[in-house]
Amino acid sequence: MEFLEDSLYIEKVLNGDTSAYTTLVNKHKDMVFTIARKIARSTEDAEEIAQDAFIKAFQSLEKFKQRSKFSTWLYRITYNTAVSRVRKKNIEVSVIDDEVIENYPGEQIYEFVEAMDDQRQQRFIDAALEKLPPEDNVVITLFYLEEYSIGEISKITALSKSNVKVKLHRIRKRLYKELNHIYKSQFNEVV
Amino acid sequence: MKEKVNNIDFFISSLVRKSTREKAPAGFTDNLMKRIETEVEQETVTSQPLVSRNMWILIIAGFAVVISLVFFIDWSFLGLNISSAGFDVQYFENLIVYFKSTVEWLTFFFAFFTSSSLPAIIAVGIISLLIIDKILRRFTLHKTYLF
Repeated sequence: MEFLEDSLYIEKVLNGDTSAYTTLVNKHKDMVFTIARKIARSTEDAEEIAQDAFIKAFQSLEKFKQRSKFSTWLYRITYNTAVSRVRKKNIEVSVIDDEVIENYPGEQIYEFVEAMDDQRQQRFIDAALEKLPPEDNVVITLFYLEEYSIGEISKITALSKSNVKVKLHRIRKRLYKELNHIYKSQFNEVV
Repeated sequence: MKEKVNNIDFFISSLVRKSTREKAPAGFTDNLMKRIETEVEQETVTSQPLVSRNMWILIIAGFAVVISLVFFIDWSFLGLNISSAGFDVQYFENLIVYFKSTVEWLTFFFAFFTSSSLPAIIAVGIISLLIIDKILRRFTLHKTYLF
């Protein structure tokens, strides 16, 4: 399905055409759900969080000044909703473990991954991403999967740009470590 | 070392791009839009008071006019003495008697209660509020307004 500019649908919604919001939902629901799922780590909670985020966005649409992309604004709402929901449930989020940073395991992993088909590669990286703290998982997904800039990620997560850069650097290392760990120990069981 | 870091970056970035993008569950949009439509409907209903501001102004103005006409204008030129006619002492005396008898009846009624009558009064109050709430909801949900 082809989507027009978000601003066109936003204008329609603000003029009273509620059904125009359906298009915005269809366009962004997967990424909103992805962010919610990565932080909540439960499909049921993620669905609730995603719905709440869309409703909050709908209610505040008049306040959206279009200084950033609609998606950035929406993802920020989703991120905040998810983090506060998770915190209410006392689930710990975002702990960077410096201990893992400095070790670079061997390079056999490159060959190992290259030999896999796409589906196995996907399961391999999914398993490693699941091991990251939820907020880190969101940051790296936004950066690589959504190709968001550091500035945009900074707006979504309310971290400073330099903090996002440092975080990305650490997450990459941590992810590499997790990949190696899965590769060495249990990948055949996981995948 | 730098080359190693670059290799890792490239390796991670190409692999993360292959990760699964979650799919919102089936029926997500429909469920959400239903919630939004309900919300919009409720907002429309609750934002319209039963008695509008203008109507209140009209009621107060009308009341003020009636009071002024009765008490502050001398109608004797028409051969009427409305001001004194408005104060029928007997009428007010009767009102006081009715009020006293109501209080006495309530006192008699509550005398049968072995414990405090306060819970009964609270219960009556809550039930009355629930009934009023029901009536008001009936009016608002059917979008039928008193005025």
